[in-house]
This record gives sequence, structure tokens and C-alpha cells, in this order.
Amino acid sequence: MVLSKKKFLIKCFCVLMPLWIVWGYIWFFPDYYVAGGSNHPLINQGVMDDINQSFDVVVLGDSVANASFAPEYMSEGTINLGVNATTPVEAYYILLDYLQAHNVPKTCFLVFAPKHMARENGLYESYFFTHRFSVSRELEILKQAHVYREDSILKGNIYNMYKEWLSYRLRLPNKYIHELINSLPNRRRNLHCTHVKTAIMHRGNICSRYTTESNDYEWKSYEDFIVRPLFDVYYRKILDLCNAHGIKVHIVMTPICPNVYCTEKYQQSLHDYYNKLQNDYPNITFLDRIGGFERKHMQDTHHVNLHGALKFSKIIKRLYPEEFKESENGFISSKTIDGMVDYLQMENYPSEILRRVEDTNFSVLIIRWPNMGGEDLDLIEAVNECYPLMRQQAGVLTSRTKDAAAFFVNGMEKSTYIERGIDGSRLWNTAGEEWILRMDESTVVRDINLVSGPSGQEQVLRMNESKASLVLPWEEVPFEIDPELAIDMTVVIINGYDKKIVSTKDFIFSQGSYKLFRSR
Amino acid sequence: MLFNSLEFVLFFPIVVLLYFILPFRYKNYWLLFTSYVFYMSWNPIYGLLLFGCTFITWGAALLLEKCGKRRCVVLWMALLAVFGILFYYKYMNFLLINTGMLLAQFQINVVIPKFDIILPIGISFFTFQAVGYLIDVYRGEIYAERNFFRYALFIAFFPQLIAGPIERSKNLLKQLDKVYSFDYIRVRRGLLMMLWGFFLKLVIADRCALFVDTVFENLQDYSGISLILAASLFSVQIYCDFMGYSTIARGAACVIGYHLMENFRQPYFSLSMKEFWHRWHISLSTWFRDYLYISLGGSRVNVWQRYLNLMLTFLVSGLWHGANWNFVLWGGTHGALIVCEDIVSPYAKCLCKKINIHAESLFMRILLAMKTFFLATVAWVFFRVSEFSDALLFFQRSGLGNIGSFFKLISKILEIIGKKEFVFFIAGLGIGIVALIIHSFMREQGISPLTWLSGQKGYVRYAVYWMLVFGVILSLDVGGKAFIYFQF
Repeated sequence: MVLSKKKFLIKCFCVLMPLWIVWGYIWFFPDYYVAGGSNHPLINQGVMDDINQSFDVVVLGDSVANASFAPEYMSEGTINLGVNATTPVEAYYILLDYLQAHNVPKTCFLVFAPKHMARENGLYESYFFTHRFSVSRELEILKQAHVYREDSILKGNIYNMYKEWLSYRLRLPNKYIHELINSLPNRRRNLHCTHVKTAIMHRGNICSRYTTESNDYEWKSYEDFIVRPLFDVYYRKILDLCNAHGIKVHIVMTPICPNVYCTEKYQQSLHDYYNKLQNDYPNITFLDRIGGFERKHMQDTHHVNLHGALKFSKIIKRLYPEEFKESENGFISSKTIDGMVDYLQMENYPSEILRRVEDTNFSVLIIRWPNMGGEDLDLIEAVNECYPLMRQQAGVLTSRTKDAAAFFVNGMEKSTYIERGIDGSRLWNTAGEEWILRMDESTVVRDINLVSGPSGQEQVLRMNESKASLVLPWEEVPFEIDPELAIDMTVVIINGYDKKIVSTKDFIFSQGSYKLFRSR
Repeated sequence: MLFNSLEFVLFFPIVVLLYFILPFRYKNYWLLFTSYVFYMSWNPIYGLLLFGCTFITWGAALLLEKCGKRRCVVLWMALLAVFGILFYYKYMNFLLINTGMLLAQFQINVVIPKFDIILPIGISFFTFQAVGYLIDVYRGEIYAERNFFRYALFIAFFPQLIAGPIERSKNLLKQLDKVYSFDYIRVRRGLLMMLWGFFLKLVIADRCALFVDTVFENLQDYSGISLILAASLFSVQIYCDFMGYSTIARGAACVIGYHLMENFRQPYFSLSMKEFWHRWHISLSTWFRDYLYISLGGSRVNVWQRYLNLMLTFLVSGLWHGANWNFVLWGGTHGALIVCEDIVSPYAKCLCKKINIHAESLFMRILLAMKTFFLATVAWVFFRVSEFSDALLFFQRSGLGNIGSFFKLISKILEIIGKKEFVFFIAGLGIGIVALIIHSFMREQGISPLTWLSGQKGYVRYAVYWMLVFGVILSLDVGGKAFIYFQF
């Protein structure tokens, strides 16, 4: 009998071998299957682990916070610790983690979407899934959820709550197998590493990675602003923690899509709540939603896209100038430059490229190819904000139809105006100058060749018959434009810090605006 | 407590372990206790209902043996009490709603209150099991059980409590006289049965459910091949879902030492609808045969009376499944099909003879099996829809030939599970169905797959075990749905 029981147990173990393998994989190789939305707490952890400098400004909150604050465009001392689906509960522990390992910041921006004050959204599927917090902290959250009867965490009753928590804690396959299967064809480890790297590069900002505008046209309304007791308690815990460390707190509401309407009741409850908070904590400030954000600034109903993030960050910087002081020597870190380069590479609207290089050491070479036939430039100006921006920043724009125009925007001191026809292979020194190239009607500029220049560090634009070449002396990046493609404009972005080309983008003009054809 | 839940994964090993450790005299008490824990984990209050039903039928059975002349009265009183409980919880609102609608037809507008009742899980199963016992005692086929605890365990035995098989006192109650010690062969057999049951449920049924639910919840969006595919997959889903449950139940009982009756015998291999009901949900169909159909006169009456009995039995069987007209219609469809088959079959045989086709030939068998599958699938549509109007919509739209609808379904599924995961999903379903077909063919040939497997070399056995375990683990993603028959 004893023998057969032993044999039975061994056989059971062997039969269940696939289970042990899967379970072991879940325990020991989270990087290989965690990605997508659920890995944000881990990304946040990665950013925090990477920090080796002190920050003056910390942004705390949920995905709207993460999407809206682009630290590169605010100051060197800003970090974004917003995480998807975070409520004040998780934010409190993130701040606690941060304070335990890093210097105390001067300012904290608190940003939460209203729904994250009313119910938990990612505690289980995100935070418990990734084991972002220690067991004791997780148990503390559950205990508080039970005390304050937070149904969204209780999951019906205390038994269900602890069952769910234990399932994640023990990494039971039923909670992980979905991500595991999804990760099989997706190579998630690479994706996760890329996400962490990107987040580190952008100092936490990872949510706003799209330039497309919101396609949500459904009319929505915020009916009421509800703050559940548990979230109120933790909100106050954050404020108490900041008070204790002498951190200034600014509460900020982020933009929403124009298809969202806030009822009076909602506005009243929102203001009542924050007024009460301000009464209880006189040092905090509250900034209600900033207007002027259109659909093109939004990725979806609640989250800004790259354009919105840029706009919002610049506004916040303007509204709180004392919080975002630049260093006296104008130091700009390589991480910030990398971040800006990354944004510029992702950008696919000429006007946004121009906005993005404003006040930076990036230059933009714009070449308008003569493919537009009889289009009236004034009409284009009316429908596309690119030209007004060009005019504003370049100071001059006299090009007309059927001409090829090339000019530098930003970073150039001089606005020399050169106009001439094609006359062989002459070389011009273009460093620090603004250019406009004009060609006769029969000539089409088909190629731009980036070739080594003949002399030193000068940027040289070489033009041949039917060819125009921007010559950079230290690299050779040849490319050709297919004449059949009828590219209307090429934008070359040049990094002023290392004098290298960041990206070259070809645009086609259609339906009143420039559409990105390809990016190199 | 669902079989496919974390609770059961913890509950079952503890129950089994302590069952084998405990002294013999405590084993059944332990099983009774854990069976009530199993039932009350869903809603503790309804444990009283289970107890009440048990107590009434146990007492009534003892009275039946003691009351000579008034046995009939005692039986009817007990049946009234048990069916009263069932009626209240399952059919009260159905009756009230339909009474209201009927009165409204005659321009009588009466506000009929609706009871806020939650249907106790498994009530149809344990009440029928208790009633079966009562009738057996009444008929003198068994003696009334004197030991209340043993009888309570017979009613509440956790593997079959929620969704059957509806056990007979002649089978299970007898077995409860004994207690069992650990037996390696038997425990292994039971666990493998459970593994196969989980495979059927998680790998096949829950995967089919994704297609089926997508279509049946938006019938107006689909037509033609999508609807036919969904209906066919529902036939597979309900079979694997219910057989999965029954197999897990039988396996769990086998681990402990008990043998539960077989509930399915390859029903889709049936050559007629009559045969289908000899192979499908056997415990229920034999219950209705023994306690209703035979009581109505069975086949000992004239042909039209027999057909009437058949129709009545199937209509009641439909109503047993749920308090909704679509279930009644489902039962009625099956009854009508069996009656039609009975009428037509002599002519069909004659025709076969005339055109020289052997009715037992492989071709004919395949053809007849396909016919049965088709008819059963048509009937399942009534079972699956929530309203009769949906069934009408289904049949209207299934005639429309629109290939775009199929691509719409595929794109919807892609949207739900993701493009890249779709391959894994379909591969899982394909492998599952192939495994099911092989299993069914083996059993049809009289080969027990478990016995066959035991005779194979280690690497073959482990290849099969690991395929099943791996399939189940990977399907935890898809699964998590309650068993369909839990709602009855």
C-alpha cells in the first residue's frame, strides 16, 4: 500500500509535468510574457531603478498623467511616474517607493482621471499581476479596501478578494496563461525591453506614443464626480506624505476630447471635492481642465496624443514657471536629446515638427518639390497650418507654384535669400543660412543626395541639373525619390547638438494637408 | 463550486486525502459534510433546501413502507412537497408571466407580482434523484433507507449533485453501504477520467462557445454559413460541456471508490433520434422513461396513445431543462421527430429494399448519423436561443447565402482573441475535436480508451497525458465559463 501511494504521487507529479513547466516559466521569466497594458507597473519600476539623479518635479497619477506630461519639454528636473490604471492607492505606494530611494522632490503634480477616484481599474490585472509592490503593501491595500468597503477591490466579498490576490501571488496559470499565449507569437521580451528603454529615455512618459487623432465621435458626458472613501483616504495620505516632506502639490486636470461634455452636477461635485481638499491642505493648488484641445490633440476620449502632450506640457511649463527652471548653464542631458529625437522621428505632421523644434537646437530643412501644379499657396495656407508656421519661424516664404523651395527653419541665424535657376554643379556654403531654391518650370528636382562635402564642417547644398544635394561632410546617406511618386515636400530634421540628420520625411499633399509618405 | 474553479482544485485533493486517512466509520460522514460544503459554497442558505428535500423524501419513504393502504396518499404528498419546491423556485415566475400575458389577451389587465427568486443550483437534479428513490420505494423495488446520513449522502454526493448524472438508488445508494480504501488502479482511472473531462470542457466546449456566443448574441448580424457553423458548433459545445461535466463527476466518484452511471454513449453516432436519446443524457432519459413514460402506459397502449405519451414525455423533459417556451419547443421537436421517424421508418426500409441499399451498410450508417446530427442540431437551436422569436430569426437568416457574413464572424473572432492568437485557438480546437473523434470511435468499437492507454508503452502514455494536461493548461485562457447544465 505504501509503495503504491508513493508510486502514485510520483506518477501524478510526472503526468503534471507540463503544469510545472508552465508554472516555472510564469515564476521565473516574467519579462518574456509581460507586455501590453499590464506591464506598465514594471516599466515604472524600471524607470525608478534607472534613476541616478535627483528630480525637482515628480508627476504622479494614472495614464492621463503619463500621457500628458512630456518631461523633455518641461525641464531637466522633471520625471513622470504616472502609470496606467492607477488610483491614489497605488500612487501613494509609488511615491513612498520613490521617496525611500531618491531625493525629496520640490514639487509633485497629482493627476487622476475622474474614474480612477471611483473604482480600481488595474490593481489586480496590472499591479498584482506584475508584483509591483511587496506582499505587506499588497495586504495593506486589501485590508484598507475591506475597511472602506471598496467593492471594486472586494470583488463581491472578502473571500473573493483574497482568492484573487492569492491567485496572482502564487502566479497560478489561470491568471497568466492568457498573457503567456499572447506572448508566444509576439516576442514580448524584446517589446518589454523596448518599452522600458523608451520610458527611461522619456523619463517615464510612455503612454502617449501616437500622432493619430481620436476617432471616437460618440457623444459622452461626465454626469457626476464620485470619490469613493478608499481613494479619498489615499489621496489624503499622498498629501500628508508630501506635506511631511515639504513637497509642493499641484493638482491638475488633463484635457479631454471635445466629444465629452461635463454636466453642471459633475463640475459642481468636482469643485466641491477639490475645494474641500484645498481647505484641508491650504498649500495645494488646483488647475481645472485647460481648454483649446481639439480632436487632433487627442489619442482617445481621455488621453492626449503626442501633439496634445507637447501642447499640454508647454502650457504647464508656462503656467508654473517657477517649477520648471532650466539650469543656469543651459545644460541639456543626452537623454533629453534622445527623447526629443525619438519624438521627432515619430512625428508625421510638418507643423508639429516645426512646433517641436521651437526653442530647441534642432534644425529643419524643408524642400518643397514642384509637383503641386496650379495649387494656390494662399489657399493651402488657409487649410494647413504648416505654412503659417514656416513663415513665422523662417521669416520668409516667397515660393510660388511649380517651384522647388528649400529653406532651413530654426537654428539658423541668418535669413539669406538666394534665388536662381539650375546652372550646373555649383557648390554653395549654406551653414547658418536660410535657403529658397527656385527652378524653372521645366526642371523637376528628383533626388537629394547626402554626400561628403569637400571642405571641413560646412554644410553644403549641391545642385545639379535636375538634382539638389545637401552635403554633410561627415556622412553619406544617399536616397532617391521616385519621380512617379510625386512627393510634394521633404523635411530633413537635423540635430543641432551633434550635427547629424535625425530623420528625413517625405510628404504628399492631399485633401488640404500634407500626408506622410515615408520616413527615413 | 465549479469543477473548473480554484476552489475545486483545492477542495478535491483535501476531500480525497482525508477520506483515505479517516477511519472507516467516519468516511461517509466526511463525504456528507464535504458535499454540503460543496453545495453551500455557492449559497449557504440553499443548503437548507437540500436538507429539506432530503428529509422529506427520507421520511416519506419510511412512511411508504409503514402505511399499507395510504401509501398512495403519502407518495402524492411527498411528490407534491418536492415538486412544490422545484415549482416555486423554477417555474413560479414563468407561470405568473404567462398567466399575465394570457389575461392580457382577453383584455384583462392585472398587475401580477414577480417573485425575486434565485434558482438554486442543481435543484432539478437532486429533486429528480429524490423523487426517483421515492417511486422505487413505492414500487417496492428497493427498501427505504433507514440511515438518514447515508440517504443524505446519496442525495448530496458532491460529484453528481449539481448536474448529474441523476443517480438511481439501486446503483448509488447500494454502493454507499461500503467504504473504500486507496486503490492505485482505481484512483488513477478516476483522475484520468477527470483529466479527459476537463479537456472536453476547456479545450473543446469553451472554444466552441466563443463562436457560438458571438453569433447567437447578435443573430441579426449573421446569416447563412455563419449560422450553420454556429449551430453545428453548439452541438459540439453542449455535448463536450455536459459530457465533460459528467466525466469529471464520474472520475471524481471513481477516485473515492464509487461508480456513477454513464451519461453519454457517443450520441452523434446514433442512426435515429430514438437511438440518440438512448445515448444522450442517459440518466435523465431513463428517468423519464422509468418514472413518466412507463407510468403513462409506455408502449403497452395503442399506437396513437404511445405517440401522445412520447410527446408528453418530451415536452416535460423540455420543461425540466428550463422555465421557458424555447425549452418546451426543444423537447417537443425531439418528440415530434421521434414520432415522425417511427411513422416513416417502415416506408424507408421498404424503399431501401426496393432500390437495393443495405440499411446496415457503412454508407447508410454515415448518412443516417449525419441525418441525426443535422436534426439534433436543428433542435439545439431552440435550446440555445433565449426567445422563440430568435429561433425564427435564426431559421429565416440561415437560408440567406451570404459569404460576407462568414468573414464578418471570423473578423469578430479575430477582434476578440487577436490575429496572432487565432492560429493557436483554432489549432487547439482542431486537436481537441480530433481527440474527441478518436475517443468516440474507440468507444464505439467497444474499446475503452483508458484500458487501451494502460496497455501502451510509457512514452505513448505520457505523450497522451501531457497533450491533455497541456491542452487544459493552455485553455485556462479560454475557459472559466460555467457548465451549461448548471442553470438547470
